[in-house]
Amino acid sequence: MSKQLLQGNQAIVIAAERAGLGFFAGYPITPASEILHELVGRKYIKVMQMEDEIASINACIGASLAGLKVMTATSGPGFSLMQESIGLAHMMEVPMVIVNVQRVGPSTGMPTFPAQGDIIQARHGSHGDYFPIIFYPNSVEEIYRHTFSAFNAAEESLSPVLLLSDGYISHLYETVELTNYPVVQRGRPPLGAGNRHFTGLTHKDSCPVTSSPEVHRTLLAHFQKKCMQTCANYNFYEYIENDTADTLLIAFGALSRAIYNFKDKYGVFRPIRLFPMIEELKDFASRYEYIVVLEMNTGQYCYEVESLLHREVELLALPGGKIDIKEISDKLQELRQASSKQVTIN
Amino acid sequence: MEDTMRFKRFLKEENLPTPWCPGCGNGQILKSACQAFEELNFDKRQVVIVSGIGCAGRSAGFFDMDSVHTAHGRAIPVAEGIKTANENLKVVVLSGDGDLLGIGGNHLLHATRRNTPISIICYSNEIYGMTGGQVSPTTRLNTKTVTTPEGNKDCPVNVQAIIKAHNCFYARSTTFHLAHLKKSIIEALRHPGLSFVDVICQCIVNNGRRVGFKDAFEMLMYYKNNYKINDNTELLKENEIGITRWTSA
Amino acid sequence: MARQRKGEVAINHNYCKRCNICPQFCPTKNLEIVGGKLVSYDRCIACFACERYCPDLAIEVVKIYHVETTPAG
Repeated sequence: MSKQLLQGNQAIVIAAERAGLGFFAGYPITPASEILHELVGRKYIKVMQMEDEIASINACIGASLAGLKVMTATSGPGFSLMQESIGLAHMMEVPMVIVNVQRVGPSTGMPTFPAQGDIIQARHGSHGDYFPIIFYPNSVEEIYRHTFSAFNAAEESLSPVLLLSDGYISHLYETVELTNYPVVQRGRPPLGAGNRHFTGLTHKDSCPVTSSPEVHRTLLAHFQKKCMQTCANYNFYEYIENDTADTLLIAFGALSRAIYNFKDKYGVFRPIRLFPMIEELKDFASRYEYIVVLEMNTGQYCYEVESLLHREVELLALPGGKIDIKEISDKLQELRQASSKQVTIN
Repeated sequence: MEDTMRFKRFLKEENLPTPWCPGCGNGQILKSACQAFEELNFDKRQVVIVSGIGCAGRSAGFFDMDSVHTAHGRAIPVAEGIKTANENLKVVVLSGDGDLLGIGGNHLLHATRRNTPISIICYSNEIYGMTGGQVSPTTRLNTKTVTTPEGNKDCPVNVQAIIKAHNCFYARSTTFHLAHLKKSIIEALRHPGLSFVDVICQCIVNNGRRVGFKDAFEMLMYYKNNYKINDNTELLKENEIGITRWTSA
Repeated sequence: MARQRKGEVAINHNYCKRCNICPQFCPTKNLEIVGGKLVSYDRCIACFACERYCPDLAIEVVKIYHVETTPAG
């Protein structure tokens, strides 16, 4: 064991290498480029700098089917380009890790500023139905640890797993204990071992079936079951109970680091596995009168929380890459006052 | 059984017949590829077939070996990923002109630049057949299609120039010149770097009829009369087919 | 003496799509589409053109070897 001062992106690379990464394909993009830089020249990792993010994720699909553990890293604009092939990877059951270091969008936005604007895209970005596993750590130590989780969950579920980060966590330097976490190996034989047909078409027993609703439903149920079974082993969250508080704050990633400041007055819940959502939240939320979701976007996870809890959830939207404790404190108070006004009106 | 059908061992016969229209040339290319594998005595466990989307994209599902049917236009990067991950595999891409040169054109350009050792067989029927006959990147000038009722005003893509610009292997053949087609595929599979076989094939249903051919046979006769074989040149003329000379840089 | 048949054309009707390519390639007009079905007569010279040009793997030509008999006397 050893301690090292690492940048978030470096921590991802070291953890990925220890988790057995064999192939990386990527395209330069701020603020994820350091991952590509750090990977070049490592002995057991084949690195391809592709012509775009579409080629990157597709090369990853090929290399993963050929038996290697694969990863790609990007930010919002590149992540948007990858969406179609993320669906393909789910359909063909291709394990891989996709790192999305979020920056302010839409479009080119503010490339060097952190954001949390890709939450819905990460969950629902590709067309059709699929069930992704998504982790979003909030420190360098944690991103090191959950890079292992992402690789292991990918292998267990045979599906692409998303590791979300943001411009803040990825560029932060912290000391990391370089623990060797357990690693899951691939169960499925690589390409060249049989006569399997991997296809993006609805299929049954490696044969395309494009006109049977039953076959499609069975396939979706299989994907969902696989995802839920895997998730049972990756139930990561942080909950700070506060008996005296009437409000539960929910935040994740960079912003959640600021929320610790309010733990004396509020309960705090931080999902590390954003999707599938942490079921325990239902129980925790039932202990509070109000739920506030704080996000560096204009409200993406808040809708998901609302539909999980079947109750009203308030949003504190903080887009634009700014994390200011005074601002958050003021806005929380405003929100509370507004709610109490509403109560009197009603 | 006569030896002429031994190539069938590369196919999953339970998946036949193919889904293509009567008279379609795709089956001919599928057959020629298998015959080339047979002639080179390939081990089924050493070959991986990758295809894109479209009529030609369905080819991968008929091979009795591991095959990947990727997203539209993405066969080449997937093939490159496979080849980079496991250099011992022979990776063959089978896909159409719209897939490889239209939506996937950028990948082709960069794959030739990297000279990744994969073999690409392009089913060039000069039309988007599966979606109903829209103009494709290889449609000739002034050809009428669903989306160019007045005739195609845009120049077809010069595939040969793209491939040769980065000193990769380029061969052109047709579904009439079957011996030549097989030879082209064999040479492509033997090539140490990236190889590209441009196969001109007939789409009678969504292209041929509209431009005035009666049936697939007439289209094959047109290929017979229009194309001359020239295997001894560095650059093929428009009405020539052949395996272009390649010099290692 | 009637010309001897040199080949047998085995047609897989499940694969055949009646595209009418093979009848036009056949030099002896041995193949024909009759009533929506491909039929083969007894004029096959085993040139393999139909088998080669069938895009649907529906045709297989089997060569027939005749034992040469010398007339008695």
